Amino acid sequence: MLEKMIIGRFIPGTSIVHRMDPRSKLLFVFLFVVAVFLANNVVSYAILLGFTAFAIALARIRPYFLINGLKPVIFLIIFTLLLHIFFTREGPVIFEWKFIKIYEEGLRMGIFISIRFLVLVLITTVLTLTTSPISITDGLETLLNPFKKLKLPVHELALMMSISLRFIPTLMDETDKILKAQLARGSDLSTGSIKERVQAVIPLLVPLFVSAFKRAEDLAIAMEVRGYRGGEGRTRFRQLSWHMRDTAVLITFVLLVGVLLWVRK
Amino acid sequence: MMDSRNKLKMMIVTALFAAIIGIMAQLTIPLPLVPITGQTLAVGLAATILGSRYGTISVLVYLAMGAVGMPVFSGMSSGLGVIFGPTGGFLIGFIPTAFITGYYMERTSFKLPNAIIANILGMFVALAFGTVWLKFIAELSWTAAIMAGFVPFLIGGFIKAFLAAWAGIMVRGRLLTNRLLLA
Repeated sequence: MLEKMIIGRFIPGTSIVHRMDPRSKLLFVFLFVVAVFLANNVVSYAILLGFTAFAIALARIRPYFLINGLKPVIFLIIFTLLLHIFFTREGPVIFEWKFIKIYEEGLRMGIFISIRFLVLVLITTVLTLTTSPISITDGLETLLNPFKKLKLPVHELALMMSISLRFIPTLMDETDKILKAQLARGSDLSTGSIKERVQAVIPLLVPLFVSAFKRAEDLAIAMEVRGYRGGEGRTRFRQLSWHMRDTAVLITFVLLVGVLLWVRK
Repeated sequence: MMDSRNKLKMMIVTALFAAIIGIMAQLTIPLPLVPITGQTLAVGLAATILGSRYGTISVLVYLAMGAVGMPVFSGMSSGLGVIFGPTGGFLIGFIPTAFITGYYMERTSFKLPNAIIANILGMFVALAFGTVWLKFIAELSWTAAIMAGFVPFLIGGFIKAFLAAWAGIMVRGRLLTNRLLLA
């Protein structure tokens, strides 16, 4: 669990998708997520599925990692499918058994919506499997730069994200230590009345939050001593570079939307 | 000098709270019948301890972290796909939840009865948001959406709201007396 929490789901590699600029990948995924909702018939969903398969092939991701990424959401997809099958009551009845009635429209919608989620999850998984969280954060910061004019604290948000990413493993260690320390003192979460168990949670939470505040104070002093004065005029250690392939990604997106608009009902 | 350091410190605290939400989202408190997931509890705690402004930002940072692929959502899931998925409304709903919970206490007081009301208010906002989102994204009927997204979480929600208020006020009190948090 700890190892997973350090790098996220990023798998290093050298495919063309790995080498793309995080900005172009992010832009593409954001736009794609919106474009997915354009699909509304068999052909348009087939195009989406085909395109997703193409992206996966380009990224040369081993199926194992893809399936691993799908695992937490597969339940959600099945859940939506079932909700539609049992609750959407339109069109002719195609199956009837005792009190269960399945309608054609319910089955059709269920399958379409499931494909929609499958495509959404797969394409975002490609992004997170081929790009490290830190470089996505960098890309996000540069992409959002124009919003600085609207007084959106872009630099501060990106900094908070980096700090948060950096401290997840540390705080997990800490949580684990507190849990063990309280267990050793006889704290018990799995027996007793509801009131007793709720009470047993308090001694776990208090030290965790107090230590977060202490850590923040130390880090603030350390940053100030090293001359941190906010985002103005700050130079970057990691530089991003835009290539032809990144422009190509955006052109591909425009083409994809054109085709979707053409084939949808 | 002191002021800018405090601002920097609060920024870091907010970032660390986002990390804590991500960690607590992986934990479940085993209560009989209604196991409590740490995610909503942590959001309530963040709002109760930090107030509306920083509480809301920490939720934003948490969601952004999940969006970029850190497995911080419940069940170690992550990615934009989860946010835009059928249950994404519960995640996005954390933003207004944190804001309203914090804002209610800022308007009244950071005392236990108000904290409980604020957290219950926040819980309803989260559930309503999640249910409406579920209805439209999964294109369900209202009955189906409410049966799947609202009713099953009510009892757990009340216990969580109470726990978040209680623990939150207690932690806030300790931080204030130790001058780690400036009111």
